[in-house]
Amino acid sequence: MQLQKYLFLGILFCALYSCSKKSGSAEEKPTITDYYAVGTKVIGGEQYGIVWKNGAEQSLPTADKNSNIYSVFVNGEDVYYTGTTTKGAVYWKNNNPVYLSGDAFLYASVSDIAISGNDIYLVGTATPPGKNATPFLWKNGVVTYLPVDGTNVSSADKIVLSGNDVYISGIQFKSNGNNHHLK
Amino acid sequence: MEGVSLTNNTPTSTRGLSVLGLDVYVSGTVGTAVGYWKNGKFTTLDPGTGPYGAIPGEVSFSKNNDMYIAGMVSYEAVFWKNGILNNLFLTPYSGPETYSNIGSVAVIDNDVYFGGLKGNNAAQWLNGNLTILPAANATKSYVNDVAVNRHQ
Repeated sequence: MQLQKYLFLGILFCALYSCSKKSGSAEEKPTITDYYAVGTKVIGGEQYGIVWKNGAEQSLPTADKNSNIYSVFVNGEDVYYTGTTTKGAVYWKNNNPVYLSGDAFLYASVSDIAISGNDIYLVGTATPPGKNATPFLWKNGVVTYLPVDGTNVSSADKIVLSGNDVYISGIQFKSNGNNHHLK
Repeated sequence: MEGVSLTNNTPTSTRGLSVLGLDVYVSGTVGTAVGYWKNGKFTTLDPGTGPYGAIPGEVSFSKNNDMYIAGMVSYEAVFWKNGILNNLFLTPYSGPETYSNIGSVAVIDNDVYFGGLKGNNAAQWLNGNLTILPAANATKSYVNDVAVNRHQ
């Protein structure tokens, strides 16, 4: 009787063990966590954009002299950075640079990025010919200059999508400073 | 598209932007004060009147709606969780090498990830643990933004 009891427990244990092992190998994938940081480094008095992944500096040759990286955004398995280079305003998708086209973006920067489905939104500061630095919204290549009060230098710094709304925050410089956020 | 002015005549700056449900949060400054606007109404986190002032960082929310705002108070990296100050247990400022600042915060599940600066070096804090980030050949570096990619 005692032997049967142990035998039963043994079989039960084996069944449970093999069951859990099977589900572990066939259905559960390990969770991967990657930590991204972007920023600025100074070499010989010149600024360069820099990217770290899990604490290690990454190679990004297109972040050339006078470049800068302001934001990092993860969408699914794609990683985006935004910033500025000697070729103008830029975003990178998986380390490949996409330069914003047009004279206004030659001396310009992308401050932030948001993505919804296939739509890419960028905000930043552009210099349209004959104008001061002007905040812009770029959606899939279509540029909207954001409303500001007067012709003062202004910037758009952050963008967040929520439902059908697009939120942008930034700074508008007056003689005494002033700020807006835009919806 | 409409603009919403966050101030009339006091100098202000915005730093972070986050939307939680229908509420819009913007971190920034009013005069010397560091704080945040919720739907246009400003709450002060630090008056910025200490010997070394204060700087705001980004605002971010965890899955269970805890609000994290990063920043610097008296040359020391800090964050506010639901408005309560945390100083990350760094040594108080005693010279340029001890200066620290957090500009960016990302929260995923229960992990809180900060990016900033300590001394002349880019730095990150993962759940409060400080790591100095390498920057080849650089005399100075700092973090502007952080993000977490968690997937299977």
